[in-house]
Amino acid sequence: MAPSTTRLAKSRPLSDRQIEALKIYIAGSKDASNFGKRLCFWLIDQSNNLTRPVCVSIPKNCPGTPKGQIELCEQLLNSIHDMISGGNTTHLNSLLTVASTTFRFSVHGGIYDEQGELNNFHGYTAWLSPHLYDDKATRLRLDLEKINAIRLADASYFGGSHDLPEPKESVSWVKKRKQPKV
Amino acid sequence: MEKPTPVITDTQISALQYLIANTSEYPEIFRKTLIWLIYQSKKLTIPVSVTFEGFERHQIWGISDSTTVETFQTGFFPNYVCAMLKAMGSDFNFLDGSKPGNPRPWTIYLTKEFYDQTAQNTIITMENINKIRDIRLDFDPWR
Repeated sequence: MAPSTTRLAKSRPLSDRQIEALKIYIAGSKDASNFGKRLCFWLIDQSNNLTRPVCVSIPKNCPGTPKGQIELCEQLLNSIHDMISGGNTTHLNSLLTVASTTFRFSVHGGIYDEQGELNNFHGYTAWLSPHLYDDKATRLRLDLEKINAIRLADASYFGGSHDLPEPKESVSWVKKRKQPKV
Repeated sequence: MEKPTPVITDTQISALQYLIANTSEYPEIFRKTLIWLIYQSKKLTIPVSVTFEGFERHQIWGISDSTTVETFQTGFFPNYVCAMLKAMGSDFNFLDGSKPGNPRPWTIYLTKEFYDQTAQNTIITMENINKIRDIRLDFDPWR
């Protein structure tokens, strides 16, 4: 269950040290793919140390969507959902409470259309904002080049020149949902 | 001039305890010890330590010593848990060490300085280990 924002201390911009710690926590998660982690890093960077509410949509079923993007879309949902749901080993939004910010990650089916409505299921949207599914958050253009250039190893205590290995298959509710009936 | 200690709220402490309680890859007694140290430190304002005497680290963990050593050498602990303290904005860190002896007493520190010998130390033996065993891990700070 998400914490009530009324019980939180007043949100303040996080220091660079706190941001570094957040990224260490995300980089060490066993519940997200490397793309999911990079996307979180990118959202954190775009939010200016958690002072600007942001969101990003990844279209999935639109005509002409590249096959690879469909997979990225699934990873967006699975990774962020599994890091915030509380049913796995990562409790990302609880860590944001520890950091004394009111910003939270959230993810939902749907992408914003030209009228600014989140009214279809042709993809997924992720937010980093003090408000759940924040319609007023700055809508970012998906920049795969920048996201894929993020080095997760830089954020981990492990260091080294290699990127982190992909985590083992996470037990996602989406994957569970898609299990064929026996 | 020393950096001022950030004010830590009850909500932050509750969330930290929740995170540690749910770090299920670590043995229960270990998680309870970390939470107990947080209580003792009075919201991360007093450097504290706990020393287990009469039994070694692997006996407390209930796992083989080689596993323990490996866990520590990977750097996943205490760094992963320390990242939580760092995210909070605190300069306190968890650290552990064993002193020479047979059995070697195992100490866990929650301090700003490495191996801070001025930290308020509590000795835990088989007789008084229940003060740590009795810590509950199943609380939900949001309820």
